[in-house]
Amino acid sequence: MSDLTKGSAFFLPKKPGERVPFEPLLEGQESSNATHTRYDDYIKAIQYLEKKIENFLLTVNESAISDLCNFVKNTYNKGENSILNPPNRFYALPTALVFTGIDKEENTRFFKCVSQKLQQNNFNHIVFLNSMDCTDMKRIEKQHFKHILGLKSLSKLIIIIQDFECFIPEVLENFIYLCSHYQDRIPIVLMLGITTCIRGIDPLHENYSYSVVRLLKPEAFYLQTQKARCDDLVSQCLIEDAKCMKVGEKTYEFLLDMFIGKKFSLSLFVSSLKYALMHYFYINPLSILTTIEPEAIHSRLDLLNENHVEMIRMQISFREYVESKLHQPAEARQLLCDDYYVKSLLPTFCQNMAIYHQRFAIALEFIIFLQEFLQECLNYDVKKLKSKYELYSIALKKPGLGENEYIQILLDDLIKIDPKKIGELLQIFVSILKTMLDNVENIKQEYEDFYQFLVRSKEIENDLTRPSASTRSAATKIKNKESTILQKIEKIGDDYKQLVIDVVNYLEVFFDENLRHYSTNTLFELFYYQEDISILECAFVPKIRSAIHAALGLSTEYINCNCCMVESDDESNEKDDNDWDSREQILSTHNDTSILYKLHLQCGKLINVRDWLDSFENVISKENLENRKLNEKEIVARFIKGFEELKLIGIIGSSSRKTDHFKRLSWGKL
Amino acid sequence: MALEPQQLKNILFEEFPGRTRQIETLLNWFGTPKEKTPPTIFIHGNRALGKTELIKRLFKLGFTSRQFSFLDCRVCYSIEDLFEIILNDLTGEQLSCKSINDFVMNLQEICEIGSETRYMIFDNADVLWDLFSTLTPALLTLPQWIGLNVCGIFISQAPWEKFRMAVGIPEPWQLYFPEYTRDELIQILMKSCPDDEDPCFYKAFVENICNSFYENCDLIDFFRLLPDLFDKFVEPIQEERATRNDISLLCNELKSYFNETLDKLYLQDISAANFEDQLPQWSLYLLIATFLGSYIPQNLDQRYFATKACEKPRLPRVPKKQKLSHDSPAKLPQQLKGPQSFELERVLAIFQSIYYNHRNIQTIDIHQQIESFVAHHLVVCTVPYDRLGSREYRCNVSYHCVKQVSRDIGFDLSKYLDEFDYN
Repeated sequence: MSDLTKGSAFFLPKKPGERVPFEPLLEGQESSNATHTRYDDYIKAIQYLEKKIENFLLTVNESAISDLCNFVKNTYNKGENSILNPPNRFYALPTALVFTGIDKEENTRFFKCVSQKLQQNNFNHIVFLNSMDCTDMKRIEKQHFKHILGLKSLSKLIIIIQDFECFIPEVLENFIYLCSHYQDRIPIVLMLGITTCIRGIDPLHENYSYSVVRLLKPEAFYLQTQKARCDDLVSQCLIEDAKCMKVGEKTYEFLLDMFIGKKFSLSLFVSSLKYALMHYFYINPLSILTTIEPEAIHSRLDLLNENHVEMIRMQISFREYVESKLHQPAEARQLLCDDYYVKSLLPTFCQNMAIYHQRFAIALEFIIFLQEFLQECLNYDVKKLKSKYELYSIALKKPGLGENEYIQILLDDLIKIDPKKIGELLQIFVSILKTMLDNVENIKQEYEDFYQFLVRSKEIENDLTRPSASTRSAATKIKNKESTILQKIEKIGDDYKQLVIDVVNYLEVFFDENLRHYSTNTLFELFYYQEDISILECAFVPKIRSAIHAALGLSTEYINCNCCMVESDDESNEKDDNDWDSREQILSTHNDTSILYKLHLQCGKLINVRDWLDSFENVISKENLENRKLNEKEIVARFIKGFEELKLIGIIGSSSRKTDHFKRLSWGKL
Repeated sequence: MALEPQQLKNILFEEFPGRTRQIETLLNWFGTPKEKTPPTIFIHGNRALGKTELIKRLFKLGFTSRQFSFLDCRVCYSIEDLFEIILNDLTGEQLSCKSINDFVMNLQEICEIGSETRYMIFDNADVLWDLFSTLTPALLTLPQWIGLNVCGIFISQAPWEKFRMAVGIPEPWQLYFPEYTRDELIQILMKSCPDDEDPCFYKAFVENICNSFYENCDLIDFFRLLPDLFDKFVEPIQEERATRNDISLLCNELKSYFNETLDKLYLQDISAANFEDQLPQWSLYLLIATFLGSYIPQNLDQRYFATKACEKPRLPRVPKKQKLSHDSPAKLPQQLKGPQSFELERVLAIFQSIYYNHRNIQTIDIHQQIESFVAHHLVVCTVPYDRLGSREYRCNVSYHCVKQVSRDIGFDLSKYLDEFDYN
């Protein structure tokens, strides 16, 4: 119940001219300006997130969409089959087999994008067939094809079937046959979405006869894998931005669970993230400092009152900061007593946090490239590599990614590579840093350091090529010079090794510093959503069974109706001393199903239907004593209705052990 | 305009090698335009043997357009459509026709106009049975019944025996199209010779292909194989590694492409995506659980899936002396029996036993997943949908597929399936 009220508070509708749906926090001490700002920040953050998601959707399957469009464009070109000119029936239907994921919503969106793109170019006609509507050929014909066959100026007819496996094979067989029958008159292109990639092409082979399968001329298209999609999504929504709400370890795991673990659903991921965002702004008065640009932060400082500052002092990271200042008692005292002093430090803290986030993102990018590089050089098993979202997950756990042994393994392996290749890696690092120079402050030093390494590697490389050139030109003098050349090569090898060791040492420090755990920053609490995930679970992984039990068992509280209330009050007054819980009473005013449910709680494993009916009759006979007598048929009818309902919900089930008995399927109280 | 019989015969002989006897028989049966023909003709034979093409060509050349109607029964979904298409072909007008009575009335009117035989050709005639159960008998008896000069021609891949479902159907005149011999096949395939190609050279190529594929490919397969293979065949010549006389060298080089081309023909070249990514891991375990539920007999459940606490070696009950009767077949190994159906509860139990992290998965998710398996035909529901009580399912995924899935998620399938030892 408490959850219900909590939920409704979140969603208070905003009427024009009324106060914002956010309530003043800090026991009402928050100024209304601050509340308003908090709400505005929240709205901006949500809009920003939505824009990012939209962007993600557009980019994620770009290549697959353009491939599909090209495929459609290239079908029915006159040049095809020019060597032979067999009769028409040997032309097969051009078919695109699109191996999609199982997320139905996302597939719909994908095919919608494809169809929009296809319609842009020319006047292709696009038809969507859905397995739900296509249970037999007559319906398909009636719904879609009567008017298409009448169309004259048709460029290409593209038939998109999103859920290929859900079709009844016989129907689709006939349909494919029909398409190939009309193919000489209408250029038809089929697009089949195969969602169960586990079986690959098997659904086609197993359910369709060969004579139909060979009417198709398929080409396969693959969408991005869920892992790659997850990488993109996580880096776009959570890693790249320095100035946005980040999530803590538990919430991150929950979000991953939604997208890649249990549910495989993008929409659940997005809604959960939005929910977390909303909850964060709703409960945290300090959230007005989260998304603000460093330049504008001073205006926000005025909104903070002494309660805000007190709350800042209560944060663990701030307390640690104070403890670190204990050797300067004057400053420590100022931190604890002087509100203005604390406020004046806030911009620095926020700035440091932003820099930490930016540098973290760069370091993480380095790790990704380092992995790929090592995989190429040392032939790593691809499965051994960690994807970006996994690395981020490690980074959120204490003690952070920088101290994880995986990084150490990577760096150890880096020493093993052929030293000549180190130049390539340095080139990548330098180019990443170069693109970042404008956006990220304080990265210049690193850029120069890596650039120096690169220059060194190039110098050594030049040294290596020079003697080889001279050996060729002075082939006659080889014997004399052999020993000196060997020495030189040895020296160059040593130089290389030294360079690699220097790079590795530098990287070690670099990763250690930049991939440290977020909790090492002072006032990280302002940026990380670290609430208990039970709030998200309540909203997105509801416990349906217990809700049903609550609804049936505590129907009075659930509906909050008057009729049952009055009586139960009277009853409870009478039996005040007894330990009798009024909620367990069975009243005739309850719903029939609820009465039956409560009665069944008193039974053992098996329920005798006759007894059950009798007690049910007993209860409801109190109902209308004054007005009229209950008809026996009515009682039985009501009994059966409730009974079947319970059966459908799964509270009772039929039993073959005893005649006239049903078994109880659910146990335990709430 | 219709051709003279002799001219027609010559053209058809030329176009359809190996079908001389069938063409002669048909032309004999049809006779002159006004002669009475056999009331119904049933043409049958395997697929891709020229039945439909021959009839289409014969009528196109030898008859005028109002004399016959050609109907592919597979693109017809209602009786009205079927009747209307036939009447439309025979009269050239859009007539509406709701029942066979209307149809017969219309047919009578049509036949009064001229005395030539009218032909109704039904391609893929086996579909007619599915359309309406009494339609085929009615159409078969139609010529006798109305006594008009009408001939029904039924083309089917199934033999006549499949049609003899009801008692009292008149036997039609049957014409069988046998398989092509190797020489006939080469003769037909030579028609695909490109205009600018030397026929002798092309023949050598076709003969080589026929030697390899004659046993298992039909004509359509051949026509689809040839263009690709011919490209590969002349490739060494274009690269100037060989001349047109080095037939044996060319043939040898071609052999290496056979597998690839056949894979393409049978769509084996399309590989599954990396499926580990495409389903949540727990639902892959659920899929394996359904597979195990289908292939492990229920009495072995305790042995395989029981937790340690109740692991009591319970030997399978020794069967009582079985009466050896000849009626009951010998006991089949489980994998030869095919998948058995299982109850939902059982699969939940197996899932709990094999998936380490099952406490994190809500039952409702499992239910949803099973239903989506059913929708995708990975699992089949063996109980009709209107029975709400206990649902039973059967796994529809092949051993091969499950094996690959289990290998990818690191699940030891062999622990449970000791009878499966193929591969």
